[in-house]
Amino acid sequence: MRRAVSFYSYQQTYYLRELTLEQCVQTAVATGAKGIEVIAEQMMPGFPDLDDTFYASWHEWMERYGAIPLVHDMFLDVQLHRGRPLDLNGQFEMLRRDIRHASRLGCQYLRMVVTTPPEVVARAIPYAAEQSVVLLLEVHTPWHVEHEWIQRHLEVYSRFGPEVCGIIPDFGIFVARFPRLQGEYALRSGVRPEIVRHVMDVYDAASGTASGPTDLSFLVTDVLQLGGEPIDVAFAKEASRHVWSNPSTLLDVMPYVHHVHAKFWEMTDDGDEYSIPYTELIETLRAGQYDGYLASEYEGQLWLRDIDEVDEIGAVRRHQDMLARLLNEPG
Amino acid sequence: MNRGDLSMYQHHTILPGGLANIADRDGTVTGFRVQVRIGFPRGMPLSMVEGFEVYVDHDNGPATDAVHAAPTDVLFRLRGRTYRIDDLADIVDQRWEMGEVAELLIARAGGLTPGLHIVTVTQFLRVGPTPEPAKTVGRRLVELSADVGVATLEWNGPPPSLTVKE
Repeated sequence: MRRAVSFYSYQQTYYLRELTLEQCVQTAVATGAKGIEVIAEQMMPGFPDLDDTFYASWHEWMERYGAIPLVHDMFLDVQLHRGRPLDLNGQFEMLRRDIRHASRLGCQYLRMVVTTPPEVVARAIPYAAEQSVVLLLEVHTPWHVEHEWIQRHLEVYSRFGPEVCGIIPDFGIFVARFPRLQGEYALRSGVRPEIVRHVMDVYDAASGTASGPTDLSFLVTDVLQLGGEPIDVAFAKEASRHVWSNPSTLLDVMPYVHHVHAKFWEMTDDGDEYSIPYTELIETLRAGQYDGYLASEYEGQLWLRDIDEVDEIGAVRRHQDMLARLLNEPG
Repeated sequence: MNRGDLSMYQHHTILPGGLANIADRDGTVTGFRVQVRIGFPRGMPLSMVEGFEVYVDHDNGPATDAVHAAPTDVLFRLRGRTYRIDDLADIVDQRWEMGEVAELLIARAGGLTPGLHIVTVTQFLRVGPTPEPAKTVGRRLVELSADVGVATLEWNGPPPSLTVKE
């Protein structure tokens, strides 16, 4: 297993123009990670009409900093036109556009958002194979590996084989403990303390066990019964989107696991992630003989930006240190 | 007044020095502008920008000397071009990039008074798989700039009768 950084992690730093795309590459590589996952619609202004000069610079950076272009993250703008959703043909054309882009970046993989219809993927696989790009569906909350929607995709993928398509499990489907940063953020936003307490308690009681997956959609009802106002209900809804599913569910689909989103929100003083059981997850991947990358995907900025305590660069560095430790890399 | 909001990006969607009055060519102050960044962690085609709602110095109910601009009262300015919100619906080949600064123009005779203002900008962006736009609320205390932007803005009179200059 090898280490990568998803530039999703540096989104706010880039947003505030404190890092350029090239500096993101430098910053990621400085953590010891080699693989780069990049989101064109965040950091490549002008996408999808990027010129040869841009791609030439990209490859020059990869070489200069010793980085490996790995994954292009695609979005599917189904609502591109007001009142007229893209039909399957339009969605296919958009995916085709992104496959070409991934290929030009030298990325072996393309991340498809979890809502991409399986019919669209099936149609795009031959072109992707021609472009040497493997199409990967991100298995993201509120879905999980065993969910009907993911199973439908895997059924389609089995017709083509795992050489040309697969999945990216996002570790956000293995949330064993409610993120305390989110609880604190909710308190600062004005959610009633007893509601924050209740939601966190219910979540923690239901997750992290051998059972799962969790379905905590009833939290909304709970909160309404507690006299919750709209903001309290909004918090309950967001909380119920977290999923705990058993890491062993990965073992059934290992041939299709080409890449992993090592999601994290908070690195503790002990150098561990607060909510996600990394030791268990990496042991599971090892048991499944996974030999791809783990890409740090930091999302804690979401719950810290209101108080300006975001340190994306430091968070990724601490997360990479943890991964290096768990992968038994020589210090 | 609501107790808060759980949406993303908060104050960073509004630039700290982003509030200024705007004047007509003859110097008459006709409104103000707010500089904003996109309320989502990626850029998108302008067609997916569903609209904005702007409050100054109040939130929901009426207040003295307060401004509320409904989505149809807001003009969107990006890279030197000014659009009515409804004009954005058909623009798929121009994008508002992540972190890029755009301006919202709002008519208000005489503009805003000097000093600090509480600016609230709600952005509606059609980013999900369903037609309902994602909503982001940014709120920030911003000091009205004394001189920035006044001359550089093209302002064509109050909506809805205004014509958009290219």
